[in-house]
Amino acid sequence: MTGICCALMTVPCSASLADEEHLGFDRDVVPILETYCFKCHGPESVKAELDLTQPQGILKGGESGEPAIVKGNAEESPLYRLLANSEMPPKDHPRPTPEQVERIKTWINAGAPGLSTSAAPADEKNELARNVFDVLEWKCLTCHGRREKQGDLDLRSIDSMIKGGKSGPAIVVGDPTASLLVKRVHADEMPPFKQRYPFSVKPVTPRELDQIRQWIAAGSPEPRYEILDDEVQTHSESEQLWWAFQPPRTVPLPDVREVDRAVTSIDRFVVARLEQVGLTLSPEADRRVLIRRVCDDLWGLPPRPEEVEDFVADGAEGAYERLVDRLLASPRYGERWAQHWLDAAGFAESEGLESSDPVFPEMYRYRDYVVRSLNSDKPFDRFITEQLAGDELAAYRDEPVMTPELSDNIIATGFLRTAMDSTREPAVNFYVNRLQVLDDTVEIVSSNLLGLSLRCAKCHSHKYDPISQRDYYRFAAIFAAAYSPQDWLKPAERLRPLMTAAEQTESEKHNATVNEKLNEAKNPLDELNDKYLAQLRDLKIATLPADVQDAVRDALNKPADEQSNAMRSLLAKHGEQVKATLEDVPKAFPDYAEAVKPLQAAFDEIKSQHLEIPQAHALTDVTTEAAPFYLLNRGEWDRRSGRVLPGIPAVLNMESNDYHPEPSPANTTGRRLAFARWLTQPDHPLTSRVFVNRVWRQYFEHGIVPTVGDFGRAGALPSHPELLDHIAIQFVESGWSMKQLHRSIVLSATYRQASLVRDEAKAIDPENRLFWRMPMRRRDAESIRDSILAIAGTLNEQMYGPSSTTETQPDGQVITPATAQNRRRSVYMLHRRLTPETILETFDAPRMSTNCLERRSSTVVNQSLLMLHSQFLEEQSAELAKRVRMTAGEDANAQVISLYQLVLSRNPNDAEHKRAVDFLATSTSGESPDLLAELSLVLLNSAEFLYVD
Amino acid sequence: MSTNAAYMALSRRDMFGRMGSGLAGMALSGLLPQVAGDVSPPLDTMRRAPHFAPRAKAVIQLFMHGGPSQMDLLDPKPALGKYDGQPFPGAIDIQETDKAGGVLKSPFKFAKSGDSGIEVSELLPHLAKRVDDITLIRSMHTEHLNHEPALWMIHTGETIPGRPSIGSWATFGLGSESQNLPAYVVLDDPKGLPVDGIRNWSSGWLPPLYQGTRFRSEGTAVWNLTPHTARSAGQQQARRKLLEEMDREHRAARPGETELDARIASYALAARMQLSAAEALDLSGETAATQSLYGLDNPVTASYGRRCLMARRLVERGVRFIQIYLDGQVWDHHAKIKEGLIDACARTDQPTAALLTDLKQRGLLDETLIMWGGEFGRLPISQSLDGRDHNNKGFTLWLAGGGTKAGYVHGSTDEFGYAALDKPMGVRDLHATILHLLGLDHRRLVFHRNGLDERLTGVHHPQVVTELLT
Repeated sequence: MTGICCALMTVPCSASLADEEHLGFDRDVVPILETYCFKCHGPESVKAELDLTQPQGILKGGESGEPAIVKGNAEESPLYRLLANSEMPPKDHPRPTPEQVERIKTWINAGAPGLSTSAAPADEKNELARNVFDVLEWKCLTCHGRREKQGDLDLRSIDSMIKGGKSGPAIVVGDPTASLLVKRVHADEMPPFKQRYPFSVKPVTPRELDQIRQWIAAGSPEPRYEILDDEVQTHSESEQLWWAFQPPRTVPLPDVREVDRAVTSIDRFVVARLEQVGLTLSPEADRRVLIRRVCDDLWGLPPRPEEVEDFVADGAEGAYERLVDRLLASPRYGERWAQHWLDAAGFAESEGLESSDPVFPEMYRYRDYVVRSLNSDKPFDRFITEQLAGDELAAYRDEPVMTPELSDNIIATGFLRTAMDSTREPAVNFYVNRLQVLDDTVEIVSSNLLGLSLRCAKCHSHKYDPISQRDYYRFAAIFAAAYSPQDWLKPAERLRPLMTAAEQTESEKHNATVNEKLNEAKNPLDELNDKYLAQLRDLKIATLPADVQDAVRDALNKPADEQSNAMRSLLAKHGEQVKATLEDVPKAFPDYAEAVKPLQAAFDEIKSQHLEIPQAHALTDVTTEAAPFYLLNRGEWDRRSGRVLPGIPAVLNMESNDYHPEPSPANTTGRRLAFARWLTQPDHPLTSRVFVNRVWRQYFEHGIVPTVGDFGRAGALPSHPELLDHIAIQFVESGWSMKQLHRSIVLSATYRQASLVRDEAKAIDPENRLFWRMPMRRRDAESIRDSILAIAGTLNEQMYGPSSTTETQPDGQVITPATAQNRRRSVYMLHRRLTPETILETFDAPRMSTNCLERRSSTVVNQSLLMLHSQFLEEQSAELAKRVRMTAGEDANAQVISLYQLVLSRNPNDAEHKRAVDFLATSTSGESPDLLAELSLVLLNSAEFLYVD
Repeated sequence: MSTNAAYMALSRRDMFGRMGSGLAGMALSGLLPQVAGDVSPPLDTMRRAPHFAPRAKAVIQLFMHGGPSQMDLLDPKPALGKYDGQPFPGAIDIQETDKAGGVLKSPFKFAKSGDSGIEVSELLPHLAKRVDDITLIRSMHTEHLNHEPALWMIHTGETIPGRPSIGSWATFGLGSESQNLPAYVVLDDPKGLPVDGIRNWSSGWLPPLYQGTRFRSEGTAVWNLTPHTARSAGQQQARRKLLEEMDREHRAARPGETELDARIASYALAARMQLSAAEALDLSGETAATQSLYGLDNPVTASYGRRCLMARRLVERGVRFIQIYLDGQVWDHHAKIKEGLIDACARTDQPTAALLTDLKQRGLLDETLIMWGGEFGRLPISQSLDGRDHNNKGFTLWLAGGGTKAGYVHGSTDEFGYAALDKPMGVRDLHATILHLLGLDHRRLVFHRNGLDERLTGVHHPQVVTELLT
């Protein structure tokens, strides 16, 4: 610090001005700044890129791109404004007194005497050059840049501009009027009027053209950009010490008094913590409760009655373990947990920006990939590496055959295609829209995998977390090689064939032959159709008044552009009446069907030989050499500051964790692969913790870190830090096995507790933060729908493939039409952004905008109305009644028992039994509905079905 | 529900601030029930106290989708006549350059109306009579000139999709007044949805219970309000009774599980709503005079008029936030603006004015905020010869009742009506002001999500425009 003060002392000419105004920089301002500001805005930690220890730093300002003071105008000076509004220093830091703030105001208003103006003058030439290059990029490079060089012209560098294209050099250095660039823009020939809309380019404004002229006149200097790397320390040492930024630590299992309750290592931590406050676990849950709970957790479906009875009766050692292993080995497990991952990934199958909400029909492949990966217990590190950088793992197009593994690598990158992307439409395909896709992707990736929200830092350095604005843009640059705003691809252009190049060539060759044959087969078909159409038309013409028949026929025989006006008006009048379509032909000519049949069959047969070239929504880098990427002042798309290189947030960049992208053989930059490698290091402080915490939350309603999406300083601290680390380390040591993780949790005594609220425990820990009971919870949306189908016996267990269709009814409800295909599990339902399925949405399935890390569970009247009155419930209740009758016949006693077993996994007690049997015997006025179906509906509405203990 | 009120009043950071650095004591303190972000707040619509005394209990938003033309309706600009057909002097932001023409004068005459003398177009004779009841804001501006982003802006405060609408925020902040009806009701046009459909009243990432409930103004009012296949009252009663008995036994065996009470209560509300929603929307009890005031006797005005009258009945029954929509983009006049405006005004002017008249005569206008307007305005120059293109730089919107001034004009546009000039008012200022009238401080109405404190007004610093308030 002393060194800096010395530097300040040497600021020239402060004395004389200070005397005039009675205020001086060194004497009056520096001490205030030193006391309150230097700690964060000094050379040790240059937060928000602002260095207040140097006059140049004050005049340059921070990441907003504005100077910290405007001489003579305190109100316009961020330094004063932030102090006066108490926005700075931040809340828990000491603040200057009002007099001190007033002194700074007076000093600024007096013209900031003593503040050296010898700071390097703004480099106007460079400013000009940068402006010109901005304009060229936004308005010209789409056609004269990396991907396209129309007219052989590349406007990316000064050399290539001088070299020019087919029409000659684009610029003549020093001579704007002779420069073709100026001439063509001035004449409004460029960017071409007709191409502006489709290419989302705006015309060059007169001011911009003027700047181009000035720049050429000034000798066309090359623009220079500061390179923003992680050399500048934007966070303090103490921030780096935040618990979540340290690798998980192995700690010995704590001792517990109640040794017999602490069955697993997880229990040791939980029980030890409970014992500290004089509590212990609740007793083990009843077996019927346990099997319903674990089936819901691992499958999202209720157990079948015989499974319940078998488990209850299984007195042998390890009955529960065997049950858990069976559940984890079933494909129902992958379907259940896939949805949790898809929520966090922001999975949706439509564009979501305009009312038509176009569907992405290939997106289901990514969903299938997730289900498949979970069921095969793909190691989590591999799982996320494929999703972040599967395309960088192998140059699949060069391989001889597309193996399932290669295919999965590509499909997995669908993970990075879940952000809403409006750029199909030229009107919303500008830089700002493209950056939005990138921004959402950063948000999805960082919140899901790092448990940190980086979004704030897009516009300004994070106020609570040591994430600077340059961190944000360096992180975004990891994905900007694929989502390059300069070399943008529209969604359809990002579809990738799931075939190697060789296979695709082979298929296309085959299809070309098929097409030839199709053309041959089409000729006789067309001839036949034309013959009948002509006959039909003649029949129709014959129905016209006799005097116009010939004229109409003549008119119809002329091509449209050769028709006279008289002919046109004649056709306007009679055209509709004589219109002959193929649909009308079979009615008019009964022999047509017979005649067309063989021809059509031959045609269809050939057509069926056509080979589909499957495609996936996938992401890959546009080129191996990504376009430059810039920090944007205040996050505004057109306010570029320095250039950034890809990197990870500096605070996480421990020495061993360096980030080194290298171009991959798959023609990519390697940026995402390097990120994935960094992320999946065994001792990464966040990756394992964030994921196991979210899994824990799924079981126990709140995470060990309650803020599952925020492990930063604005988040909450872990209730059991050592337990979290223990599970995280176990997870990594198991080879990142997700099934092992689930197994270790559900086998714990902590998980097997009863859910009953114990008053004495509630008094001490009302929120169950210490896990003294298993929380009772409402089934989630998918569990409700899927369980109803399973209980009614209508669940179609078919896995994978294109999503079930949904249909919006006139009243706005979105249903799946009642076909077998649509009675598959909810994970296979079309996840449309704008029109999510009504049952799922009503029970809190997220309407996807970015992603969803934790669903909330609401209690709302629409749910009750839907459960009581909807067509779906009515249908399924009737199916359930049918199923009950198949086993129990018409005997009301047996029916009630069967129904209770199916819906509630238990037998009714005597009172319940009697009440239900009485209900089946009720007679009410009006036409009586099927009372067994009514009883089924009531049971499906019961809290006992909707909630799991 | 006190925990909810606590949740409303304190952002999580306030909480931590109060606790000093004391995260450590959090787990067991018991002082921190339902801290935002740590545990989900109880997600219900129980009524809760606002931040301060409200001026308005309810809001009715008359959403004029498409962008009503300010210079033809409520912001007269003689300069347009003077420069008619000439090139627009100065820069102008246009989308479809090839269809743009010169300055286009308004085909309509304006006259000073009411005691306030506010100039209103001849197209709005009914509103002209009520002009002394409204606050006319002539200096609105917004951030995008495409429909969808502008819709998202006016409804949710940002030009990106997926955020909660202002109605959802109000419901989240205040809960429901009504025991029998939802707090946030949408009366959309039976003929069709507006652009972007039901997302206009989506709760975004707020829990879905805060989304607008569509009441259809024809046929059954609410989804699944009645059984898919008809059941007699007795049959419905029988199954409700059985269900309630089962649920009460289930609850009795689980002491301390209050969520189960909410579940039982929601079934009870379902039963009450079955009756009350139908009653609330049944207009047959309204007098012939009232029906004709709203134009129910005229096929042109009947549909929108029904929704206006329903809105009054819903306000009387404690509904908090009501939005009325028209199908498609009634006010989007890219061509033939004269004919288009004549149609749109014919459909809406009388019922809109009737709503003001009716609320006032019932003493409800003071506590009900009416908001009339679209997502942006239109340009002073022609498009396709006789239409006007979108304009986000300036537009007109009016408020009435609920603590706003009567017969007051706020701000102005330039001499062509192109851009807000005097006292420009952004959409976020409007949102902050509406929340203020409801007794909510937009800075304190916070929802914690993914590590962020989310607000309707986001990270921006809009102003509550106190000049509009009485």
